[in-house]
Amino acid sequence: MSTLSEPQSDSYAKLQRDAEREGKSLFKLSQRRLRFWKMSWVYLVLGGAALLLALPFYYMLVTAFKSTEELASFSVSLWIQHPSLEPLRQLLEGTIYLRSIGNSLLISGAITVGNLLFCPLAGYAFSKHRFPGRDKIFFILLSTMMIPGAVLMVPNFLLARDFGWINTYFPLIIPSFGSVFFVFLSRQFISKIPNDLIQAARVDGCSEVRLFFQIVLPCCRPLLASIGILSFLGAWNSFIGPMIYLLDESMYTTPLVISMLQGRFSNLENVQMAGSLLSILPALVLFFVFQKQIVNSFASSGLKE
Amino acid sequence: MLPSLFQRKLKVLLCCLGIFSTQLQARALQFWAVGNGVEDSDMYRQLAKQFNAQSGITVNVTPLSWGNFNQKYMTSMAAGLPPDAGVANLGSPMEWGSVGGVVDFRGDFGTDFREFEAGFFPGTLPQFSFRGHLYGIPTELVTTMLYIRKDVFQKLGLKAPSTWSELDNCIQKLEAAGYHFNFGWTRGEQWGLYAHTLPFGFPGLHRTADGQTRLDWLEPAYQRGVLHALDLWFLHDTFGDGSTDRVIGRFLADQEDESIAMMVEGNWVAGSIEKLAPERSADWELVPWPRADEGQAVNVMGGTSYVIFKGSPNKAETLAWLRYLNSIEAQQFMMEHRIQRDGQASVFNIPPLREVWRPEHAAFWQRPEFRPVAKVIQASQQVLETFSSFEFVKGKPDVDHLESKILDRMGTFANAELTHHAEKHGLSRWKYIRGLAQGDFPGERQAILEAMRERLALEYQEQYPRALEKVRYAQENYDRDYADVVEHLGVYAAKASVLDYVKWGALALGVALILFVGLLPSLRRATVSYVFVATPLLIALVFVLVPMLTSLYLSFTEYHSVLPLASAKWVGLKHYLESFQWNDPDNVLFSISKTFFYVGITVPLGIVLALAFAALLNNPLSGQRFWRFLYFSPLITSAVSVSLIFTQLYRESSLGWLNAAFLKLGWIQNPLLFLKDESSFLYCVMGLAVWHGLAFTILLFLAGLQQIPNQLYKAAEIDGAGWWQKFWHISLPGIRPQLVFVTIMGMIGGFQVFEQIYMLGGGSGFAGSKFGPNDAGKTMVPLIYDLGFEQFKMGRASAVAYVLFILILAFTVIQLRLLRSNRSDGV
Repeated sequence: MSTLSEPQSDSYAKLQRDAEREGKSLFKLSQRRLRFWKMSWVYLVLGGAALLLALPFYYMLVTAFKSTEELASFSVSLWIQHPSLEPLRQLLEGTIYLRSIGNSLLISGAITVGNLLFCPLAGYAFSKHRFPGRDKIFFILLSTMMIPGAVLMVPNFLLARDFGWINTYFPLIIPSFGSVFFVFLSRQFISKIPNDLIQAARVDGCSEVRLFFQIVLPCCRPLLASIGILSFLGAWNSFIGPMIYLLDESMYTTPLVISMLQGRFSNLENVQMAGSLLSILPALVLFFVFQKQIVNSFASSGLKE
Repeated sequence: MLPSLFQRKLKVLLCCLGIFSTQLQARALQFWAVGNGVEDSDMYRQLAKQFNAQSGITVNVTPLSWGNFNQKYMTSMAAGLPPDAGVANLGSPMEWGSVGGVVDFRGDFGTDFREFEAGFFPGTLPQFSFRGHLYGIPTELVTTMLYIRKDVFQKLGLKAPSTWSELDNCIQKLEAAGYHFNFGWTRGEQWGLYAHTLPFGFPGLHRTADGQTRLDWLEPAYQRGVLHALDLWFLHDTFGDGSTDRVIGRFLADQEDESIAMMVEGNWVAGSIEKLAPERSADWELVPWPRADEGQAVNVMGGTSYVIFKGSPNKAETLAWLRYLNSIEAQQFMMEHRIQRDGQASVFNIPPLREVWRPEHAAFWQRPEFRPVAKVIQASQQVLETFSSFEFVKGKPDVDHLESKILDRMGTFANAELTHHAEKHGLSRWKYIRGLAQGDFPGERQAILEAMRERLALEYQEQYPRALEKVRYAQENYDRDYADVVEHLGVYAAKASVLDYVKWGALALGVALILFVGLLPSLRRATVSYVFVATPLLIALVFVLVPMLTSLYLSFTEYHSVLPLASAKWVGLKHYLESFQWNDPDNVLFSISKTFFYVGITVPLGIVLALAFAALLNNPLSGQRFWRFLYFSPLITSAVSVSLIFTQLYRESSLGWLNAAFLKLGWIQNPLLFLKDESSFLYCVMGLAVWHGLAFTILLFLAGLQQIPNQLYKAAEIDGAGWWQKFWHISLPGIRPQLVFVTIMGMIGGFQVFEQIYMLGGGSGFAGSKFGPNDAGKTMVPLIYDLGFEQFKMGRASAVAYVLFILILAFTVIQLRLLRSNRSDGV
């Protein structure tokens, strides 16, 4: 049972399309209108809940553009009386926000590229190769997933210190390569690629490396999208690692800069919200554009076996 | 053409290399400054430029924030990458000095430093000394002052209080007339206590003249002082108004029941009052903190200090830099720079040097830019000689931590008492406080104070033995293990540590595996496969196996990460045993129960809500894309950014949006304290976590629901099933795999919650991270983080981490067992 069980189709999106098509063809206009009234309470409930759920975002949006004078006034206002770009200016001048985006991109990009390369590679070997100890090695790898990251926080810090990695990006990037979860995902996915295809390539004298890059990888686009999106977002939003390992402010990642706002602009709620806004807005826009891919990759992360 | 271009490029390259190497030669000093804003680093940069012009020494300034400066400094010392000098809080120098992290000014600089030392007010120095060493010098000082609205006082016929009983009397008169008293800075802070207990000669933990360590907790006078502080902190103006700006706004306003006529704040606030409302300048004044009726005048001392790190290769130059910073020229520049900043950033901090206050520099204070702070300058001069501090005693952080938690609990208790009484009379908290002051409820104030006194006595009674034990252990442990290590750092640094052994073991294992593959023909044939799987395997070996073994060993040792790893001392099961003692402040049982409570509510609640929304969203809605966008958008937002928003929504005053909404709806009479209340803190975190996690759960359920064939529903409809039956018999079993997955992942994620708690607990807003009042949010990972990266007790942190590991392991195994047995039942 898995959307990933059929590599060539994207069953979640397909079902969605089916549902839409069904909705269009089965019901005539009057029936649809009737249906709409029947459904009105669903819209009402969903709409009301959505308003509540969007409240934090709304608060952020409104507060980010309030002037400091407006904040100091002794009242609660749901709207902006005097819109001001001052908070944004203060944020950009008082922090290394823009630079931190570059830093975050660098780290997340490196982790993503590493995972995109190493995980399908290992997943391919685990599913299509036969070699002594294969299942044992896979089991050992899987069992490391049981160990929570927090347990490794202290010793990994000492290890990174031993390697001279403190205040570098290495302890954030290198241990994230070849994430076991993505290896697992890759193995499941690649095992559904027909053996004949691989066998045929082998008969043609294709080397294993070429086979992987030219035959296997092109079949894995949904898998690669999932690994790419999930590992990028995971790295982009990660906080505790950068907090422990990075010393120089110029190396800070975006979440780290955001977390510092409470201290640096302790009484300026508008500047704090401007920070949240700048970190959330681009993500929301990207989400709007690539909604399908992102939703699918999250959905695939949840369907194991 | 071509060669010339090449030559030019080569030249540029050489030039770059040249610049690089000359920079290395100049050996710029690294100077870290913890501060409140960008202005401080700007100030130090300008000073560095002037210093460079005088001495030719370059100084690089790096800003740090209050929230994690300790962790940053400690990490840099632990990694051997410390700056040359830095600005820290008052408590850090002797803590870092006692583990060999910073330089002893007296010992290392000898006579060079004598004359420098004489320049400081003597009362400021003992707090940096430890066993005759001096590990820091003060940068600037802050103290609490009393801000008074003269016009209101005149109207009510009051005069500025100079003793505690006059203060109490003023507060009562003001409140009876509908004016507030607000205790701002140091409210609820453990270290702020000594202004309340020292007048009676009790500083808490200290070393007596005959070298004994004494803890004053059980002295009646000490407890009286604390009780007075609790009264001032918690029984008057309602909790928090958010920004200082707002408090100042209320201080300057003049409506009954809203404005503050007298407040306690730090000395730096005066400038911003003057800047916000210069026209009110004549209406207010500023006086030093009143003295106890019977007892000496004592002022609370906060501030920052300079330290020089042991790892610095340029100690003499660094001392020159610090001397420059303490020259009259630099001091006056700092004063001017601070006061001329915009709005709230404009501050006045008290310079700790006698020189600055000498009559010959009186003209300096007369400059026009100091006019806004003339009042605070005058008040500061009066209190300078009353600053006093005590030599550091090992174990003090532990004792302070215990007392800090007592104060947190007392705050909760006082608030509950007050609210309880107010509700009994059907009044809001403020109306009740006003009524008390007017004498409407005779005897009730006494009753509340009496209840608090009893509770406080009980708290101290209970915690006292624990505190003594902590001190005794810290001192014995230090004398036995660390004192020697600090003396012989080099020897220990050269010794092989557990990590080395484990690393060599891992290396040997790796080599053996490679040889195995290379030498055995049956394996050699599969070399390509082994290479393909090598990366995840290697990563697992180096970053999971090696750390797991290292931390297993560490969990049986006492190890401070600033010291070399080889200095870790074997203590057997101590950490595990202590972790399971209820009365230990960092006991793991407390955290486990918090964690279970958190998981036990967030996971089911998240699932139920997500199920409902998924079922609704599964209807053929128009505008699917829109709905999905609305409901799924939290997916991609970072926990840190979202937590920042929620921190403000949860603001404890009536100006927070949630409180404002609840008040408007009439659901509550008093603003809820949310994050400031021990009993509600974790619920607030849960609210945030459920909100943030909902998107992912809905998404999974929706994906599952859409895989259920429509025919099933149609068939059920024909059988006459209602929506509930369809949901219960078709939908729910249909998404069983998702339910299982969400439960397991939700629990594993819940066990590891950190960011949300760190941020809601104050994040970078306070000095040192706190995880909610009375550590209300100290679940497992915050506990590990706190032990490992705030307290730097690596052994204890490792032990707790292992407990967490075993817990999660046990849970996963049990769940999988249940799952398997269910499956064999054919469900």
